[in-house]
Amino acid sequence: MSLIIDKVSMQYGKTKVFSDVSININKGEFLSILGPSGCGKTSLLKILAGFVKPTGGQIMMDDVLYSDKYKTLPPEKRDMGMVFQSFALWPHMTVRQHVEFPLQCRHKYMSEAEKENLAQSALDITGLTDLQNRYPNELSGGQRQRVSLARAIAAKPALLLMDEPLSALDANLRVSMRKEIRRIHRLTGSTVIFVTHDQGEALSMSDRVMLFNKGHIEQIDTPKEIYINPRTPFTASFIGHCNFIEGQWQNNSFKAYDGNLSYIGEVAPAFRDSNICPLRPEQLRLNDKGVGIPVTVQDKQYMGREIHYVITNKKNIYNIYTPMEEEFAVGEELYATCR
Amino acid sequence: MRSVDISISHNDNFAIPAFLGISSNIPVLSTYIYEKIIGFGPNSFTYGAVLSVVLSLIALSGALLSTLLVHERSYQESAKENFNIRIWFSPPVRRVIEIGTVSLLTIFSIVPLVYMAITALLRGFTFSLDAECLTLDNYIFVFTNDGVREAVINSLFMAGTASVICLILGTLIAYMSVRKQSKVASFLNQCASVMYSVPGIVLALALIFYWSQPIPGLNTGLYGTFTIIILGYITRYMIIQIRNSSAAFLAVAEAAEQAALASGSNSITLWVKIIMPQIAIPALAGTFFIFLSAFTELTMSSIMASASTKTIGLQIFNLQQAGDYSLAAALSAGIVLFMGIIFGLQKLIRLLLARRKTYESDN
Repeated sequence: MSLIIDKVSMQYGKTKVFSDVSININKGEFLSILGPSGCGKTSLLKILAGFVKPTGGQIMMDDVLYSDKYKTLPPEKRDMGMVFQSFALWPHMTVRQHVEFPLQCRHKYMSEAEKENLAQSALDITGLTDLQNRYPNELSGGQRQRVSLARAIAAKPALLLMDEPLSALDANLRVSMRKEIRRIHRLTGSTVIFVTHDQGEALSMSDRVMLFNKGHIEQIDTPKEIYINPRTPFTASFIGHCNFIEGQWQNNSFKAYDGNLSYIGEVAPAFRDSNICPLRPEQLRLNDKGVGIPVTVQDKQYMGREIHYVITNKKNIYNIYTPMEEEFAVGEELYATCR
Repeated sequence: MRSVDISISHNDNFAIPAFLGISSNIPVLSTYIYEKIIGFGPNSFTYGAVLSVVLSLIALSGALLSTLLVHERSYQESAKENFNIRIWFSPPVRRVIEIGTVSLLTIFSIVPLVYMAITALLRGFTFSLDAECLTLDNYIFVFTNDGVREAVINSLFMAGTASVICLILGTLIAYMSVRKQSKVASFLNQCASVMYSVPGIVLALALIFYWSQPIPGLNTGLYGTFTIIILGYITRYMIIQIRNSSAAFLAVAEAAEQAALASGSNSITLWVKIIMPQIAIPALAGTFFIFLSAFTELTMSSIMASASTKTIGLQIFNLQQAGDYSLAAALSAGIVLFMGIIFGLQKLIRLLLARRKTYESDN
């Protein structure tokens, strides 16, 4: 029981959007498709929804062929729900009518009482029961997105597609809706495909992250693995900040060219081969004892829990996050080492 | 840009010069063609056809000029029109401009209408408003006369049928061209646009030639029937529906349609429950406009109508030509009242449905 995406390719005319994308998604899994804008992630979602036909490969859902280059199962025949970035609500319908719509379409032979139950439970899960008779223009942005969610889950679809559902919300709401979507995912048990360009969303919500760049997959891994063991420089710099220190690798130990900085551990071949070591800002430390790469503090941002420094060494610029107690001044000449 | 539009549409205007020009010997091309054709001489139709070609060339070159000038104007623009205040006037200046425009409007439109309604109350053609001269006879005559009733029913039927067909076809064409980027649909759109630029009198003539014998050897016998006039109205006014429906579709986010499909809706449910309620108001505004235009239309029916398919416009024209000015005025006043009611009705529907209109999906 799973969704299988097998060597799917897409091109519009001569423009290649992506090629040979393959992944098996387990039932009930929460997968994020993460990538910069224009990387093809939305096109992939449209293919999964059945709005667009792929130019190659195939998509199977529980042994049912969803798409290949010849045939596309239309969206209404797919066991899915979808949440849109723009909410895509219908101005002439109340909240309750939005939730009832997929039930009327998908469960034609279900008894009215059962439909009533499903609609009510979708409204309860999303906390919309009190707003059920409102029209979209009488709701706030967050409430509108809840309606969009309620509509998507009402018919209990096996697959839930989300196209940047939080992008249109303001910053605070975006963070609280993450928890909300996680909770809904736990309650419904649907497989979720969540498209986003926000690495914070991808890391905090998903079981696995699929990182997309310029039409190919950079890496598919758990959030922890993708953060700690990035396989390519793109992954390392797109997910969180990353400093690329130049130096010499010998087996598992790294020595920087510019000073007394060493690191012991595994990194992907891509880094070893180009003689760099990827280090996160929190993996570096500053000191004034003369040990490490000589650097100058260029900028300092007080963040409350920690302090973010921008430091320079010749032509290189590094980011370092230090705990509160290690405070230095802008312009100070220091040394950077690995923690 | 607008003035080019005005000069095109007036190039082929028939009704105004027909009423005011023929009697005062000021012929314009369109009335000249009309006179040639109804003259029924041996060469009348061919002579009319040649003049028509000349008139069409003038009109189409004007249309071309207008297209060139507004080349970059695309449908996208109509999606979100900006009604914010752009020019600020100080209160006194504003007052002057307001009074000026209102009085101009009153002098040019409202006074003539009132004058017409009053003329119809007069016994004979007099200017005194004595009680003795006032009578309702003219109104009673036009509201009870069989010929008038027949013309009203004819016009209602033909305008009604044409506007319903335009609504369905025009909306489909608009949908195909806006949502599916269909080449066929945008070609039809262009054609409909040309049909609106061609002078009405020319279009009518062309349609008679065409529909009498669409394929060589096939005589349809459509000339002189309701069908040919309805076909004429559809050909003439289709573009209005396409434009209104296109604007309506552009105002509905495509995601709203995708959301319905993703919710499991088939295309019938999608149209009935999601698309139609959202486009109804702007699309029907176009249909109302087509109905009113076709209902009171004179240019095309003057050439296409026969004795049994007389339209209101033609009825008024005939009354006026026969010298029954008071009767023509009474009938006109009745028609203006009817149009006022239709217009009010449309406003009322709009007002009743207005509450949900404010939500717009951004992005």
